[in-house]
Amino acid sequence: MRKQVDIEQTMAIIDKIKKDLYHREDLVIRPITVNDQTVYFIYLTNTVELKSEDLQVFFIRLLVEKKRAKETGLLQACLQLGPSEKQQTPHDYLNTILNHQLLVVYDEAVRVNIGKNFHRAIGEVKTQEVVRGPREAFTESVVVNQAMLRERLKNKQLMFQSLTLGTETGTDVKVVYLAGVCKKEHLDDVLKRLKEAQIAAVLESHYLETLLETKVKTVFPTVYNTERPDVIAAGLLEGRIAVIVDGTPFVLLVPCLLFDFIQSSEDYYQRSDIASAIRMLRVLSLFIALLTPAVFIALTLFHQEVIPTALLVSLAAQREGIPFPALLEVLLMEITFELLREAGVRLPSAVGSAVSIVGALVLGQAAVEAGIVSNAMVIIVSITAISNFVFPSYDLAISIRLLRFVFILLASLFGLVGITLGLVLLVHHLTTLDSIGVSYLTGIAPYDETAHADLWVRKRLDKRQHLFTIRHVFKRDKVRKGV
Amino acid sequence: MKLTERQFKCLLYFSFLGSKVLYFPKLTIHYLDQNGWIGILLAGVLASVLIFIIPKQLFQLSAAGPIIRLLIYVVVVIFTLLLFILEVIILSQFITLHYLMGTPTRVMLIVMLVVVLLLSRYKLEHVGRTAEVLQFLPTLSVIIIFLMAFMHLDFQTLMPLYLNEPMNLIKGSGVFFFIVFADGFVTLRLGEYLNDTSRVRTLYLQTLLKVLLIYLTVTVITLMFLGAALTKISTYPFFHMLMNIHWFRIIERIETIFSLFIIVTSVIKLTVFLFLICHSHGFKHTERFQHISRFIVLLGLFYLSDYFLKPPIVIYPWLYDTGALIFLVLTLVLLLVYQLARVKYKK
Amino acid sequence: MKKVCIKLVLLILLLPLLTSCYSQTELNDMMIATAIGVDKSTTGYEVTLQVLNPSEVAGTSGKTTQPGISCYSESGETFFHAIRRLTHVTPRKIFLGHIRFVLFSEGVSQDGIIEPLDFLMRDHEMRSDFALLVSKDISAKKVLEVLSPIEQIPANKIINGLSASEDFYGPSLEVELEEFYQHYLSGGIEPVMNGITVLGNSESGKEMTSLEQTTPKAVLKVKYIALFKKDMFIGWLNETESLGFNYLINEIDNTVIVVMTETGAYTFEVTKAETKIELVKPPASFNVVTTLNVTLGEAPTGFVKGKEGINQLTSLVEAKVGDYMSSCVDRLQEEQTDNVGFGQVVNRKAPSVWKVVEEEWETLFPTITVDYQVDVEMTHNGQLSDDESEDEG
Repeated sequence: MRKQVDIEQTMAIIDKIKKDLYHREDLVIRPITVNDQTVYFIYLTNTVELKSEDLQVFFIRLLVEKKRAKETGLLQACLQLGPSEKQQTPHDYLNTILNHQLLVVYDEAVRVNIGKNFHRAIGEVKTQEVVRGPREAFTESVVVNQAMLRERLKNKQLMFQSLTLGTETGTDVKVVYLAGVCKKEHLDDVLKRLKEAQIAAVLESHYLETLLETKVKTVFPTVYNTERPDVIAAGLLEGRIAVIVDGTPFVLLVPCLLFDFIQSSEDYYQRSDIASAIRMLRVLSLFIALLTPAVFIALTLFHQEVIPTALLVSLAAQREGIPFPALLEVLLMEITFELLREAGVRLPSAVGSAVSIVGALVLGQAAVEAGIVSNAMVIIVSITAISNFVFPSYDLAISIRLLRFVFILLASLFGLVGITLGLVLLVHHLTTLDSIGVSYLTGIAPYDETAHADLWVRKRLDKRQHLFTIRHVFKRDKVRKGV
Repeated sequence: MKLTERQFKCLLYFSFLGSKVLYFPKLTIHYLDQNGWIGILLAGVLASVLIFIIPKQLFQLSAAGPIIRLLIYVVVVIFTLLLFILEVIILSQFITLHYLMGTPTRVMLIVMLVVVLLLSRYKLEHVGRTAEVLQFLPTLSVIIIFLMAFMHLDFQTLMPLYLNEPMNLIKGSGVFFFIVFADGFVTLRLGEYLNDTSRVRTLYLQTLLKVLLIYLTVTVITLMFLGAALTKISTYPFFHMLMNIHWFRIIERIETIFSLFIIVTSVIKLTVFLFLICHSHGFKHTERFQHISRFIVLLGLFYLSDYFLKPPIVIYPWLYDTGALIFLVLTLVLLLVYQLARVKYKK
Repeated sequence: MKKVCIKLVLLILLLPLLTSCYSQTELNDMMIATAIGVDKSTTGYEVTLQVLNPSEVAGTSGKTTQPGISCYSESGETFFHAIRRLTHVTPRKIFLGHIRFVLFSEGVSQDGIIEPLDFLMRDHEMRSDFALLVSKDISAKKVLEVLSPIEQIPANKIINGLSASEDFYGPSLEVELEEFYQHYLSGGIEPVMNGITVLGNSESGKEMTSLEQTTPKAVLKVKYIALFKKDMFIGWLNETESLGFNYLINEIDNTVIVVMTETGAYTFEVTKAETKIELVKPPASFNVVTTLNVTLGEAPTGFVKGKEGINQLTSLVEAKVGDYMSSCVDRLQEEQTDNVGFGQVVNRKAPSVWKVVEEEWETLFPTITVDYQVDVEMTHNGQLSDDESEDEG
């Protein structure tokens, strides 16, 4: 017969849970009695489905184990339902229930992971599309994401370290790395930053991004994020550390360099010469996006002598009758464009096309014909906008957009001199940045030969000493196995 | 944090160049007429020899006593102050003359100093990294200029003149050895920031040769384009020379674009000098104190530069004659002090 | 609090920067000048500016029947004074950065042009790669006022015409400010310029109606070389002398030479010409070595008879080129001005001798003796009758 103590213990657990979750009307406490033995199944409504045949097997096993008087009887019985583990503390009980799992209480409490998965299926990549390369993207589920990484790296050194962050949200976070490849100090730094943070809520990976960013105030992204599993897998191979956050398909990757944001995973899925040419093009587009309006302002306002005579005459002819100063003209057009772009992103796709029609009309012919802006200015803004879309990374594109306005202002004050000084300061600013201790411009400054080799051009894969040479920087010393 | 060898070289490189490229051909003409380019070679040989005479221990002075350190600091500061003021005045004057006509020189002065302040916000290492990123600028510009100029070059103008007076040549290259490489002697103190000082001399020599090549190219092109007489009368012969290079009518006035690298080198050079003025005494201070000291020094430098900035600035005769003498004396004093330090160090 | 204070101080320091939009000019606030003309006036100089009318030259809409250029004139005590006084009459700020050439009238250049040149060298807005020209028999103002067909900017027409004439015929020379100034400053060589004039009625050439005909009422014509001594104009070279001059200074790229024989006139195209001036005996004896590559361009009989015939013709060409050059040197010696730069040759080859004769070179120059050695190589005798000439030889 069952001891009185055991029954009391069971009731104590039930009471405890009831007390903690008394206000939750979705809490289900389902006692099932077989042969005078009452087992409590506790879960939230609609999260767990208990089938009667499963329960039969469960009870048969429980009674069998009971007769053998084994201590692990409940756990053995629960294993008939699904993957199970013993829970010790009241905190664990709560956690089980709130994590949409089943808690079975009978003398002791056992967690059974048969909660329903509410996440969507694996979909296609939306943000960093490629012509050639894998199409599947991470999902919102940390479990699925973990499985996707495992699929790509069938490596015994692949380590996952689980954390629960967010005092209010209790979000699952997994720190992923390849032991033996990633630098220990990087890993320690990441774990320290994540663990020490007093963060209330983690709803998206950006909440953690702020913890991992450089301490210097900057507009540049110092944490890479992507929804492409292949990019993360490549990063792990280079000795970087990924952070998967439950509830978002965007996985973080640190440390990262400036050049990561202008390189695309597709660079490695194409012939090296073509990939190199495209990489050059991206570097060019970086400067075009950053400087075109500023240089235009500087040349037309300060250094007209630089412009070839025929072009100058043509520009001057276009400006006849334009009421605004050139600076205002540029700002007007740039801001109009930014408005349109932002509107296009937020609008439902059905209305989006309407915005683009209006935009084409406003930005295009109408403004010119009304004599508000000159033709040249429309071209400048268009070139800038197109170049801005060339970057594979959205984060850098935003930074460049912001800086563009700074450069326009500098150009309107000091012409080319202002732009030059601005660039020097920008480079200096970049050198002061770091991503968990790795200098943001590693490869150029401080110079690193192996990293430099894969910076501007992408070498042929068989001609390189390491799989990913640029990233070789990160794996200098080995991490102890199993850290 | 310490500088890497590469960063050290870059900082040296920028310190050697600065805005001197602008008026360097004029200096060669002033002393050596058309033989300037031979003079540069001679000066280069002289400088290389001197590097190997300088005692090795100089680059690591932390072991020396406080008095020696203070003495060296004083000499370096006087030296650096002079060069700093000269550099910033010439730079801001050049900009207001050729880029932003109508902007008061004083405004440009303030802008330059603010930029230098911003660049010196962190450590010298970051300035070194900046120099490392931008080091391709002067080299690339000069190479492009050379390629563009190549089809117009007339080597006849380089024929050595007056070679029957070798004394003149030696005298000339001697004087301008001090003018050209004075900045380099100040930056010797950068050795302190290196991890391993054993290769300082080699690094120094490598940079020196690179700088020599740049100066040689610039001088040769300028002399060929402008001729001795015109080089002598123009304020910034390098800039003037660039005005005459056309390239298939695509780039109409390359001088405006191609002399921008001078602003970059100058600004970095000024930042290095500021670090030298503020921190080459070798005593440790808190970071906050360092920030404030740099700010105060810059403020002082602004007033000093502003004091010398009286239009019209006839800076060159002063630079050529008295300036060269001052550099000469100061360099000798510096060497002497270095030697003293060495004796002390040995004990 | 302290940080805020420091930032405030910095901001205040930065304030003066905001007022520093001193030097910016909007494109529609300025007039782009393409050429400057300098004439003599009673008070000093009369300066004429040829400025562009952008919307006429490049505009797509709003084109009227106005000409692509306008001219403004004003006089002043000095060149700079006159330029600044021009703002009385011009509607906008003048921008001199795109000047194609500066034109001096004969009258001004006879009195010396160093004063305007000095301004042109000093002014930082101007590039120094524009050409210098002298107007022949007409005032600079009238030349600038003439409109040209096809090329809407007459200044461009002049410069393009000048370089075409220099490249394909030879008696003209585009002299840029830098070069002129360099020759003006250095000893042993005197500067030159090219001339320009107007054919036809310059008064009616100002009107748009002039362009509405197949033959405009006035046409700009590139003339020959004007000699200067220091900064003063002293005379014109004629066509042969100009050709000789360009042979001497090695500026001939491509030209034609006509030689007369009993059978008729043969025309040769010079495809390559190289001249070296050698110093035979310092300081007064020179040898000019010219090597020419020519091709036969036009022959009266349709073919040339054999090697002998070719040799005969080439020797005639050699004599002709020698004549060109000697006529030029004779003329220069007559004018006592060394525009070719014989003095510079002495300077380079024999610096010690030059030091002695430098002062009296002006008087020494008319006495120098020059020998001409012309080597002509016929590289090609045209597309016609190549075999025939070989066979008969």
